Order: sequence, then structure tokens, then C-alpha cells
Amino acid sequence: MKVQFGYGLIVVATIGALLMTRKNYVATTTQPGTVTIRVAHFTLDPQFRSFLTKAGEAYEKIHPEVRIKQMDVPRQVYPQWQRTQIIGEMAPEIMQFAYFNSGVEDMVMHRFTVLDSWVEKPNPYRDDDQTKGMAWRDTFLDGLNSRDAYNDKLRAYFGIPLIMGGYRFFYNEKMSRERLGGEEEWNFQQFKGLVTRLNDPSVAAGDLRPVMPMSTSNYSSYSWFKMLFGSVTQSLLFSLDRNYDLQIAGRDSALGFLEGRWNYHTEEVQAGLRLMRESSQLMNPGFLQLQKPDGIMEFAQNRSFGVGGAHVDLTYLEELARFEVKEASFPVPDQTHPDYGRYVLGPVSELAGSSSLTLGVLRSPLQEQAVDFLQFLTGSEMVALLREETGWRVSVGDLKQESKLNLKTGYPDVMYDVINTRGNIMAFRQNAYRLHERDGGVEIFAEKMDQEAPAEIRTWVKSQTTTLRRTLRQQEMSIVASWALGLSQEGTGSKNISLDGFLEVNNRQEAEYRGILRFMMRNGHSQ
Amino acid sequence: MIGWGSEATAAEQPNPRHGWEMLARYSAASAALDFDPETTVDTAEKQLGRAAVYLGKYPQTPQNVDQATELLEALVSQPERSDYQAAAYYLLARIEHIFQEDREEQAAVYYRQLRSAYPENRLADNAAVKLAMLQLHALPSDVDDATVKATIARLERPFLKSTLSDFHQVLAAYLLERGELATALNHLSAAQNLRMVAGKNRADLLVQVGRVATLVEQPEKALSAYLSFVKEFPSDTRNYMVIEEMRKLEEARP
Repeated sequence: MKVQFGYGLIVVATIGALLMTRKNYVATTTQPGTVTIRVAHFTLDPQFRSFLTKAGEAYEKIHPEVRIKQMDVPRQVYPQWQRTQIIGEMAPEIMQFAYFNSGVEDMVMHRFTVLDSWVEKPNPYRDDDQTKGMAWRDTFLDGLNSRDAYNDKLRAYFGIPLIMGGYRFFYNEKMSRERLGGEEEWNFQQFKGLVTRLNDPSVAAGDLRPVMPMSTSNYSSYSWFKMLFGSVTQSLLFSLDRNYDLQIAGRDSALGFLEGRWNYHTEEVQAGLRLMRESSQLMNPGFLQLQKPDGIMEFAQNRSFGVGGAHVDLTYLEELARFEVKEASFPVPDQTHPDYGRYVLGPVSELAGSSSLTLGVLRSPLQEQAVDFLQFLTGSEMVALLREETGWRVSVGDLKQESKLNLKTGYPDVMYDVINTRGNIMAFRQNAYRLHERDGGVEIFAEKMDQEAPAEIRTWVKSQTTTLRRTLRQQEMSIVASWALGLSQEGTGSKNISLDGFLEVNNRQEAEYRGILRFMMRNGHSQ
Repeated sequence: MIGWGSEATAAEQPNPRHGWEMLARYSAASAALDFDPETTVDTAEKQLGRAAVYLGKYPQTPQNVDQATELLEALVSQPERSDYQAAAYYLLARIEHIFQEDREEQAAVYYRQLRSAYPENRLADNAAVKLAMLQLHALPSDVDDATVKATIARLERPFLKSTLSDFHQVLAAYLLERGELATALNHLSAAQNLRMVAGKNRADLLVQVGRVATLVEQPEKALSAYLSFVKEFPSDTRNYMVIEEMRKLEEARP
């Protein structure tokens, strides 16, 4: 009997697999007279997938000859999958850019369509008074200035973003009302006091489970550390600024480290590290090992009061939590703090300037249709649908949305990343636990970082010169092509603006490249 | 020759203009057929186009660079002068300067040949910027200020406003690196006054003028540049910092 049941099970499983294969085959095969635009992405939130399905159906209604096929791939395998698809020439027509995919720049230049000729013209799917007739590019909140949308090394547009980036602090409104008198905003010193206040038996209404002020996960802690560290290292935005343009990149911090402008014993950096260690006492132990979903579950189960995350996480949180989720500024020290206040120049900016969830179009005979679908996705109707389905801050301009969010302006929040996660990310990851563990601390961590970071930073800077040189090489054919295309204009008095702009970028980047080479020679780190 | 026809997909008939458009969009493979020497009579334009395709091929190999060099050398050795010959000089200089290692001297020779043979050409004008970079880069790391000043005084100047703007910015970058802020500010201001820089690069330039002018105690110049920045780039993420800097400068006024 058992054997018969086993055989039966095998037969049922085989038939099931065949049916699934058939279903997948039908779904990925273009019917005669139709074309299929496949959209690959790693944004697996159900709300976004639902939006894309509805958007595809709406598009198919007005373009009956087109089928939209969504391909969602888990983030963990996406880089390898993307590379394999592209190299194997099986790539879908539209793909989400994965900023974490190393070597993506090469792929972008050689496989993705340059969108310049489309972004300069109006999006035919915009019909609101505010943006009608405006160049597609200008309908975006950041003017398509994000790294994935516009490649400033290659002076070309490659991507269309759907949402805005940035982090927020989310908290449990019911808990705030019941235990904190409905408070809505905290600085760091006030937030530290929440451990006692949240767990005061007189306000906990008989609930004796301990509540931590901040939820426990590597993701939540990262977003908070970023703001905490950024709040006390603002003066480094000036002292590490090698180009005097008030912009700090990984190269500024790496070169600054090698020439002794800063290290892990610099006063402001130490203040940032002390803050991180102090704040880790407001989370449960083990937060570095716990993943984003762990922290979210802790928050949803009333075991922590707040959680740090991206703007886009709000929808997910609202779905999971049985209480109202509200958002606020991160609790960071302000100028009134007795210890940290002297390092604070002003607020940390919450207006993360650039957009994300960026989609690019692969070069193919279907690229025109694929670009049209992206125009549709960022048109008036679909942008409203995206906001409605997900609740996310969308990338396309909407004054009502922006004023409702009431985000703070201030000093950029870049210091945590440029100090810890660019040229010395391995040393940082390997030693981060030393900062937080019981027997560890700021000094032990800083000592270790100052020992291990230099070698890694030197290697990283060398790789940066290689990248810059490769970029300069890549630009040459395009410069000569722009020059050749401008030949027909010569004698007509019109200027070749495209060539002028291109040469300017090329000259600036070459000056930077030569500057780094001289730096390495001067400081004994020659190639 | 490496399969010109087989790699082309976009163009039905060879069309150099289409080829240049594809190259401008980083699509060397799609441009190959448009410069095919076998479909119609070969021309200087096609030779240059083929060299550009070789330089843009992916992945880049030394053999492709050699093929491009061969085509360009043939082009510059032709007795007939043409705009394409000028561009060939430029690309040969760039190959020596940026594709090869330690060939700066040969790069300088090509840049100078280009400037001498085609002084009115746009790429020849840009060669002045590249020559300036070569000459400054050749100076020893412990060079004194007077030698730097003399070297800069001897540099050939470009004649077009857009190139002159780049020239000043390149000099400013070198001087900022040396900590010669006051001299660097002169070059940054010169670039600003030429009004050839646009978009984000203009935003960067205005902030640089404001920041350096603050440091060398020229508050009026700093305020003027910062004010232009705030007006022209209201959504730039540096706005808050710039407004704070302006406030401090205003407060320090007598």
C-alpha cells in the first residue's frame, strides 16, 4: 500500500512539474503578432509586484500587440543572474540596475541603451498641468541626477528611477501614546531615556515583556548609525574636501587617511564611534548578525519601539504591524547635548537627493517599445498607481507628496559611508563587532582599524586609478564621434555643445586621475 | 580586419553618420558596418571611424589598440589634408597618453603636430589642455612655487572660450593640490567669468569659488559665487551648507 502511494505521489509530482513548465513556457513565449517586454527586477515587495502586474495589464490594453512579463529575482542571486543573462545574450528587455553589482559600469556602457534622445523630450504619458510638455528628465524630483540614472563619467542617461531613496525612523504610535504621552520626536539624549520610560510598569498596562527603544538588525542599526555618525562628523565635510566643492566621496576620505588628515583616533571620528557604541545599548544584543526581517518582526511584535529603514519599508511595516506606524527624524544628538553637542554643526539632511529602483533598457530590436513602457510607468496614471499600491515616495515630481513628508534639510549624511565602507570596508566589517562587544570598545576598535585599514585603502586607491584610466579610454571614441557629428555644423556658427561638455568632463577627470597618481608618488605609494 | 559586417546589426546600408551616432552612444559593435571599407569606396572618414570602433570594442585588448594605431598612422601619413587627419593625430596622441604606459613624450609630439598642422581645429585647441596636464605632471613633487609659476606662464593657451575654461580649471586643480589657494582662485574665477561651464559642473565651480575665496579672505567674491549657486541650483544637496557659509560670511562683515 505504501509503495503504491509512493508511486502515485511520483506520478502526481511529475504531472505537476510538467504543467508548471508548460505554464512558464506559455508565459514567456510571445504569441504570433505580439512582442514581449520582459522586466527583470529584485524588488520583491508584494506591493511593487502587484503594481507592476497592474501596470503591465494597463499597458497591454492600450498596446494589444505587446505583452509585459515580470521577472522577479531574489536580490541575493541577482548580480550573478544579471551578468549571466547579459553575457549569454538572453537578457530581458528591461532590467533593474543593481548598484551592488561590481563591474556594472562596463555592462551598462556596452549593453544598455543610452536614453538621451528620449529624456530630452516630453513623456507622452504625462497629462497633468504641472509637468505636461516638460522634458521627461525634468519631471523627476532629482532631475535624473542619480548615479544609476545618469553616468557622469560617460555623460549619458542610462536609467529611469521609480522611487526616491533615503532612510526614516518608524515608531509604534500606540506605544508612544500609552507609554510616552504621545511624543513624536526625540533627540539622542531623550531617546536614551526611553529604555526606562518604555519599561516602567506603571505605564506598561501589565505588559511585562521588555521593550527596547530600537529594533535589532544590521539593517536598522546601519540606517541609525549613518545618521548618528553623520551628526558629529560634519566638520570633516570641510577638512576632507580636497576639491573645495563641499562634496565628499570615498576618494577624498581614502586619500585624506593616507596623508594623515584623519584616522580612527581623530576626535570627531571617536565621537561618532562612541555614539555608535552607546546607541547599541538601546538595541538587543546580536544586532550585527540579525537580518532586516528579524528586526522588522521584533518591531511588529511590540518587542521594540522603533525601527530604522528606508522610506519604502513603511508599506511593509504597516502591513505586518497591528498598530499604527508613524515616521519621524532619527534620534541624533543636537547642539544641546552635553558631550556630543560641540561636534554638531546643524541637522543631518533627510532629503536623500537621489532616486532609486532604477530600470534600464537593454539594446535590442525592442528597445523603442521598452522605453515606451518606461515612459508609461512614469506617466501620470502609473505614478499615482505606484503611490497608491506601495505608499512609497515616488521619483516623479509631486509637490503635495513632498510637503506632506516634511523632510529636514541639513548637512549630508555621507560621512559614515565614506569613512567606513569605501576603501576599508573589509577591515571595517571584520572588526565592527569589537566596537560593540562587552569586552570591546572604541579604543580597541580604533586601534585595530588604524592598523588594518592603510593596506586596504592603498589597494583601493590603486584600483580607483585603474577605473579612472579605463573610463578615460572609454570616452575617446565617443569624443571623436561627437566631434565628427559636429563637423556638419562647422561654418554655420553653431556650437558643438555636446562635444564641449564631453571634453570638459574628460579634462576634469583626467586632471583628477593625474592628481591621484601624483599623490601616490608623493606619499610613497606609487603604482 | 575582425568581422566588420558580422557585428553590425543596426544599419541596413553603410552610413558613416549612423556609425558616428552609434559610437557617440558607446555602441562600437553597431557602428562597425557603417565604416566597412569593402561595401563602398574607402575614405579618410571611414578609416577614422574604424579606428574609433577598434578603440571602443569590448573587451578592450592590446591588439585592438594596435589595429587602431595602424589605421591612424596610415591616415596621418596621407598627403591630403582633412579634418579626419587632424582627428587621427588627436587619437594617436590619446593612445600614447592614456592607452599606453609611460609614453607621455610621444603623446606630446602628436599633440604638438596636431596644433601646428591644424591650429584652428577644435581637437587641436583641446590638445593645449592635454599638453598643460603633461607639462605639470612632469614637474617633480617638491617643485617650488616660482618654477610652477614659470611653467604655467610658458604653457600654450587655447583660443576657444570653452577650451580656455577647461584650461583654467585644470590649472586650478593642480594649484589646489599644491595648496596655492590664491593663485588657484584666479583660475577658478577666470573659468567662472568665461561662463562656459553648465549644469552640475557649474554648480561645482561656483561652490569652489565660494569656498576658496572664503579661505583666502575674499568674502565679497565668496558671497557673490554662493548667491549665484543658491539661485541657480535650489535643489542641490549642498544648499544648506552654502547658506550656512553665507550666513557666517554676512555675520563677519564689519
